Amino acid sequence: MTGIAGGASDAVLVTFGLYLLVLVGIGLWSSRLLDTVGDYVIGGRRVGPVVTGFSERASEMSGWLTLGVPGDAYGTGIMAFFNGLGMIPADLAAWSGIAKRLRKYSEIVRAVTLPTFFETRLRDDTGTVKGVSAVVLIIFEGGYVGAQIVAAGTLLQILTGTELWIGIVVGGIIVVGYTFLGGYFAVAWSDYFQGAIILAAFAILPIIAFGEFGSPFSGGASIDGSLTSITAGMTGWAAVFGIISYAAIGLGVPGNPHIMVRFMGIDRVRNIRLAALVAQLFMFVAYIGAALVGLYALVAFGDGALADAENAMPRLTLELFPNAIAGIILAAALAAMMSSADSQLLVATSAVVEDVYHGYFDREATETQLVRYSRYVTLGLGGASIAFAYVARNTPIYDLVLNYAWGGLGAAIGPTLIATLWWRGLTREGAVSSMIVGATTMLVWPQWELILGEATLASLEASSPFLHGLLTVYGLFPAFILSALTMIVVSKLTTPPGKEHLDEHFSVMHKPLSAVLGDRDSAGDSSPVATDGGLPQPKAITEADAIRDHVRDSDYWTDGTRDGTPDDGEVDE
Amino acid sequence: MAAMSTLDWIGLVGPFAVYLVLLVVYYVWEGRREERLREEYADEMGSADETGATSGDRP
Repeated sequence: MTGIAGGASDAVLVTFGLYLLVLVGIGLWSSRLLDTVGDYVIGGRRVGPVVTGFSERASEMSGWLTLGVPGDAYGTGIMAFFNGLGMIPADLAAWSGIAKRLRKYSEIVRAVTLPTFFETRLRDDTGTVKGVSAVVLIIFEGGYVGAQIVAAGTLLQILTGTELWIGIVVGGIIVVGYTFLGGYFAVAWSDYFQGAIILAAFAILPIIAFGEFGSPFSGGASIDGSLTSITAGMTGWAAVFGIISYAAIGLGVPGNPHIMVRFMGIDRVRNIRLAALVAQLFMFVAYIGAALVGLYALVAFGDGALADAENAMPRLTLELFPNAIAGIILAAALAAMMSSADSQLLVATSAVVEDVYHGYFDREATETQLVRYSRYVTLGLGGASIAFAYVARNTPIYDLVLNYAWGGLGAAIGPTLIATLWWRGLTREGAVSSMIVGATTMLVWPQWELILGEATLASLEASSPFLHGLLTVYGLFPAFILSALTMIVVSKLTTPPGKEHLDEHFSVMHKPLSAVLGDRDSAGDSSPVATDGGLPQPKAITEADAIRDHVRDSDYWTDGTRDGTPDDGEVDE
Repeated sequence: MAAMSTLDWIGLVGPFAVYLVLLVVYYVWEGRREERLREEYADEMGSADETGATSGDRP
């Protein structure tokens, strides 16, 4: 079995395999230890603002940033630095405009997931808001899982030289099996640890490459002048819409649950700015590093030398790092993808079983039934995600994530989330119609070439550059605008719920968090999941933490077999 | 070898430089704002409670 690493592949594979084995071993050991002290939830989340900020960003260290962005830079050149154009300011805006409000409001309505937050905030007793937002989560989190499986398959292909479809099937089976085991292998710290390894790789790879190849800009310019053009050689409307496409990626920040859930779990509001600082610096390093890695792959291997542009990062890692370190970095990347896919699959599973089935169709369902259905649903969704990954295997991971995961969540949920925190006039009907319009637009917009035909679209490029640019712009741009407009218009035409409650809730936005937590802490009824503000140390909820806590609370995997004693690791109700 | 134009360099470095400045502004402004909110809330609670007790300064 010889991968692209050639003679070095065996050494890389050994390190790669050893790293994953050690990770599983440590995860099992930590999981048992934490269970025995009954501190899985509380202990696991007692981390400071530095880790909060770090974890808020580390979730991106999955397929899109590790393989997609370097691949984009390999194909586009320096314009790929614009991947951070919208993301960095949007993330800062989220920290400054959403984090505190969401933390306080989710405390007021006692919600730990976004569908529940929407339902309680909008006082919807019909289950429509929860149901529709859950369906959105199922579709686009499923897309996320599929993209992670393609990324895992791509890595396995690079390391072993196997066919991509085999890598996808094997990667998919590992992801689903891993999720079935409860995801306990990847304890919270290992997520940070893996994120740190990959971030370090993005920081160090360009430095080593600089020593080897010199400036990537002169190297890129010598290959093709458009690679060192900030508009990738485009002019006019094409350049404008190209820049808008990159900037629009940032619109997805408010709608992606794995980012929002961290805001919901922050304990000390005063730590938010430090967490924001860490998250922002993380982004600077990650986006600049990822783009530089792609550019250096271009210089190192030449234009068109890679069968798949998204092989750029692993290829450069294998080229420039010693075998053992390359094996660790790539194993960390694979583990990060598994961990993300595990969490996303559980988000989708809980959306189907808890939010749709339990919340909408059968409110009287027993715990045993829910456990059984959850397992079926995980298997079903896992199988669907593998099938999606197989069908979409030739679509770049970069596009898969942006079009079928990130963008869908951003367009469908983002406007509603912002409005719940800033606009008292939002209604249930406005939120639901916004979600439907946002999701539909996001699914349709990338298909214009299929709908109109390649020839029609090409002729438009010459006859109407504006229309061509508009139809080929990143779909999140029109989808977010249409979703927001729909939400505003429909909300204006309908009646918002409970004005007196809203006035009371919104008045807290101008008070410190203690104004929300004080009474509940003294009553001792804070939920251990996201509302445990009484602990002395600041904490974070990572995507993985939150979902695993939710799954644990629901007894999905334990099937109610624990005895519920204080030492058994169960969360008290 | 074609060198990068000044416009390309500005387009490349400019946004990141602006974002760094924004981050510093946010960090300073947010710290002051949070401090002000806490003081206002402590005053409000102090005047509302004749014993002078407040609900604490935890956050």
